[in-house]
Amino acid sequence: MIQNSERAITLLLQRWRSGDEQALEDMVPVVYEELQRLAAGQLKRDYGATLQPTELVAEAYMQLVDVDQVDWKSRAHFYSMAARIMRRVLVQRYRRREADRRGGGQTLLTLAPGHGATDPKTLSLDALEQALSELERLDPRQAEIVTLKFFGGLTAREIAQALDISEPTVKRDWAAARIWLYDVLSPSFQ
Amino acid sequence: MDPARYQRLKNLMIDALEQADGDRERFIDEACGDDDALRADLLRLMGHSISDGFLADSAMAVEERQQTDSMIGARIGRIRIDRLLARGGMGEVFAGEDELLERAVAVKLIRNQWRWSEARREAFLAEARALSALAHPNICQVHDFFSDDDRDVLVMELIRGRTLRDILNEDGRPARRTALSWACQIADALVSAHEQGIAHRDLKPDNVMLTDNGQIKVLDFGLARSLPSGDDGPVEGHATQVAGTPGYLAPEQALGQPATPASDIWSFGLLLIELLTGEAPFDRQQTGPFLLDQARRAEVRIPRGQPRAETRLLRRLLSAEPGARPSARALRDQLQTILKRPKQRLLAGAGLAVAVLLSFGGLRYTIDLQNERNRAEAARAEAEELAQFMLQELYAGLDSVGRLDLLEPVADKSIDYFVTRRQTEERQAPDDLGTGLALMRSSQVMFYQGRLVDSISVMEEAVDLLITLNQTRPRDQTVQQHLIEGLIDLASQLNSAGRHEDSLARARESLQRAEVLLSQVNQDSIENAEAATTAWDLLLQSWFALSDSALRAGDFGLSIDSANQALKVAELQAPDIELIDQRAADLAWTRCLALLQRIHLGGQIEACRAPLELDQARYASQPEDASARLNYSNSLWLMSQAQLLEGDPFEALASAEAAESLARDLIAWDPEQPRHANLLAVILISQARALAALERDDQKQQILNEALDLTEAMVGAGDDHLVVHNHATVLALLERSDAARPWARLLMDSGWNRPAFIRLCQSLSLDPRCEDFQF
Repeated sequence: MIQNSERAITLLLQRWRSGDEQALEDMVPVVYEELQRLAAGQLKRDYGATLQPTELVAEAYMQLVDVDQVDWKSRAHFYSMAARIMRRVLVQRYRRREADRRGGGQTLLTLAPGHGATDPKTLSLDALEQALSELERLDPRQAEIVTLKFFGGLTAREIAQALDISEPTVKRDWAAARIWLYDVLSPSFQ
Repeated sequence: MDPARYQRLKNLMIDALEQADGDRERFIDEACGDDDALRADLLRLMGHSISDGFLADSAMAVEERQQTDSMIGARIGRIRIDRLLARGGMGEVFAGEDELLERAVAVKLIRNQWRWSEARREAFLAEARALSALAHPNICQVHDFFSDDDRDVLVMELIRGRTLRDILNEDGRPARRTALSWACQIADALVSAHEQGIAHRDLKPDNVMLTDNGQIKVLDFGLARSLPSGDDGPVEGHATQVAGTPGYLAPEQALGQPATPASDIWSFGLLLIELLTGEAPFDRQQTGPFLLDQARRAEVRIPRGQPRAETRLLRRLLSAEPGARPSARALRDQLQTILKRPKQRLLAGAGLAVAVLLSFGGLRYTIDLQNERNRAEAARAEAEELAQFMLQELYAGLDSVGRLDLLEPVADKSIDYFVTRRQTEERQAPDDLGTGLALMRSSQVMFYQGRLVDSISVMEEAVDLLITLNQTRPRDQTVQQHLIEGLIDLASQLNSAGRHEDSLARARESLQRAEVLLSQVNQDSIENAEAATTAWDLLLQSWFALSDSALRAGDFGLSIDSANQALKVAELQAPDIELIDQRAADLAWTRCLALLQRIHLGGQIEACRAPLELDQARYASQPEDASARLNYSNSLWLMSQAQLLEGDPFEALASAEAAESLARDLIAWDPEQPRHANLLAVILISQARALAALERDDQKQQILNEALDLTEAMVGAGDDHLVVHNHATVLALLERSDAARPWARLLMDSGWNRPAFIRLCQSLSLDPRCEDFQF
C-alpha cells in the first residue's frame, strides 16, 4: 500500500485542489496510517520535548507527498486534512485507553485510588469530541479552525491559508469557540 | 440550538470580546433587546473566567500527559511506579521501586502501538534475554523483561545522572581528555555487547548517561527496532522503514538494511565527533528525510583541527562500507592508546618546537618549556598549539609513513594559520610580526625535517623582516624579543650547516641586541619583572649561542671566555629564578665542554661540576621533566669525560653508569628521538674507555657492541657530524679500523676538526695532517 504512495498522494492532492472531493476520501486511509505510525513515535526526533502535532504532520507530508509537485495551497489542504485525521487518531486512542481503564485488557496493571479518569482537572478528549461534533453542526468553519489548531497544531496564519480566510477572522472565531467549548465542557470539570 | 441562532450568539460574543471590560455588560444588554434567553446565554458565556491553559496545549500533549499521569502510583507486577523520567520514541521511562527486592528501578513501558509481529517479538525477547545476561559496568543492567497483551515492560537499573545530550546542551563541549575517557567507556560497552552478538542500533548522546559518580552507562541496547507498517520485511525504498535516529544512522541503516555491530561503529563515530567538537556533524534540526538522505550518501565532514590519530580513527569509523569499519575492540584499544598519549606527547611536542633552536646531536640543548611557561600565557599556548600541530600531529605521523616530504606544504599552511590568527588577534594594529613569527616556525619545521638550506633561508627572511620592523618601531619590545630569538635560532642552524663563522656573526648580533633590550627594559619607568626576565633570558641565550658557536668553530678560548663573562654577569645581576639557573647551567656546560678540548688548561672536573650540580638540583625538583633528565644525564656524561681525562676511570665509570640509566629512561619515554639514542651511544663510549683503562675487556666488548648497534642505525638515517663521529669512534674502539676509516674520511673532508676527532684520526693513521695538529 505504501509503495508509490508518494506519487498517488501528490496526484490526489492535485485532484482535490481542482475540486474533486472524492480525492480527499481516497487520501485519508494512507495519511491516516502514516500519521498513526508517526504518532507511535518511531521517527520522533529526540529534542527532549513532547512531539508537536505540526511536526508529525510535516513529517507525514514529507513522507507522502512529492513536495515539488504541489503548490502551497495543496500543502495547506494537506495539513487541514491531516489535522482532521489526527483528531480521529487521538480521540480513538483516548477512548481505547479509557475503555481499558474501566476493566478491559488489564491483567497486570492495577490503579492506585485517586488517579485516572475521574481527575476533575483532566480534559476529556471524548467530551471535547462530542462538543466539537455539535459545533460542526452549528458552524462547520469554526469547528474546522478548532480542529486545525488543537489537533493539527497549525498557527492562525496557516489556518487562514488553509481555509482561505483572513487571519483576524481565524482569531475571532477561535476566541469565540474557546468560550463556547468551555461552556459546554465545564460541567465535566465540576 | 439551531445554526442560525448560534451564528447570532457567536457574532455577539465576538463583538462583546472587542468591548472594554466596563462596557461589556451594557453592550450585551443593549444588543439582546428583548431576547432574554439570548441575553442569559451571552451573560453566562462571557462570565466564565477561563484559565489561559484551556486548549492552549495541543491535543497530543494533553493525551500524552494524561497517559503518563495515569501511570503514577500504579503497580506493574511487584513494581511501584513513582515518577516519569523520560519520554522516548518507544514509550515512557519511569522511576519506580521493586517492592519485593526493595531496589530502585527504571521501568520502560514499550507502547503497544508497536504492534510487533510474533517473529519480531521473539527476536526481541531473545535479545532481551541476552541483554539481561550482559553484565557490564558501562551498560545499563536489564533486570527483567515481561509483557502482557497490553504492553512490553522492561525493568532496568535506575541510573542517577544526566545524558550526554543534556551535558552537551547545558555545559557545551567537554574537555578533550574527558571526552576521550567517555568515548573509551562507551567503546568498552560496545566490545562486551558486540562480542555477544548484540548491536545497539540507536547509539547517540541521548542514549548514553553519565552517572553522578562519573561513570558512563549506555542505555537501550538493542531496543531500536524497525517498526512494521502492517507486515514484516523492509519495503524497498521506503525511508520510513528505518529504525534508529536520523542524524546518527549508518548509511546501510538509512537504506533500510538491518543494523549490525558495524552500524553502531558508524554511530559511535558521529557521537565521538560531537564529544570532541561539541557539535553534531549533522544538524539535528533538519527534517528526518533530509538526515536520512545525508546518511545514505555516507558523507560526513570530519572536523578539522583534530589531532592526527583522532582524525584517522574517525575516518575509519565513518567508512561508507560497514566491513571497512574497525571492530569495537580495535576501536577501544585505539582510544586507549590515544588517551594514554596526549600529556606526554604534548610535553614532547612543545619541547621539540623550541628544542630545534639548539643543536641537533650530542650537544646540549635546553627544552624551552619552562621559558614558554614564564612568558605571556598567549605565547605559551601558541607555541604549544603549534608544536603540537606540527610536531606531534605531523612529524611523527609523516615520519612513521616515510612521508616527511609532505611537511613543507604543512609548514606553508602553518604560515597561513599564523597570519590569520595574528590578524584576527591584532586587528587593531596589523603588522608583519605575525608573518615573521610564521616564517620562524616554518623554518624550525624545515630544520627539524633536515632541510638546512631552506630552513636557514627562511629564518634569514624572518630576521630581515623583523629588523625592518624594529627600525620602524625601535621601542617595540615584542619585536625585539622575537628578533633576538630568531637570531639565536639562526646561529644554531648555521652551526648545524657547518657555517660556524656566520653563526658567530649572528650570535654577536643577537648578543648586542639583547643588551640593548635589557637596557631598555631597565630604563622603563614601570618595573616589569616579566619583561626583565625575558630580556635576561635572551641575553644569556645569546651568550650561549656565542660560546657554542665558538666551541664548534674550534675557538675554545673564545668559547670559555664568553661563558665565563656571561656567568659572571648572570651571577651578579640576573634575577634569581630557575630559568636563569637553567641558562647558567647551559653556559657552565659549554664551558666544561670547551675546557675538555683544552686539556692543558686543567680544572676540568671543577668546571664540569658546576653544570652537574645545577642540573642535578633541577632533576631532583622535577624528576618527571624530560629536559631536566636529559640535561642531568648529559652533565654526568661530561663529568665522566673529565674524570677520564684526569685519570680516574673508576669514578668515570660510575658517572657514566648513572648517565646511562637516565638515558635509558629517556629512550623508553620517547624511543623515536635520535638525540636520546645518540646520548646513550656517547655514554657507552665513555664507559668503554673507562673499562679499557680498568682492563675489563669482556665488559668493554659487550658495551661497544651495543653502542655499535645504536650508531649503525643512526648513520643510516642521516649524516650528522656527531653521529658519524660516534660511529667511527665505536668502530675504532672495536679495532675495526678498515670499517672506521671511510666514515672518518667523510668527517675529515667536511672540515671536522674537534680534538677528539684529531685523536681518532691519529689512531686510525687516517691522514698526515692529523699528526701535525697541536693541542
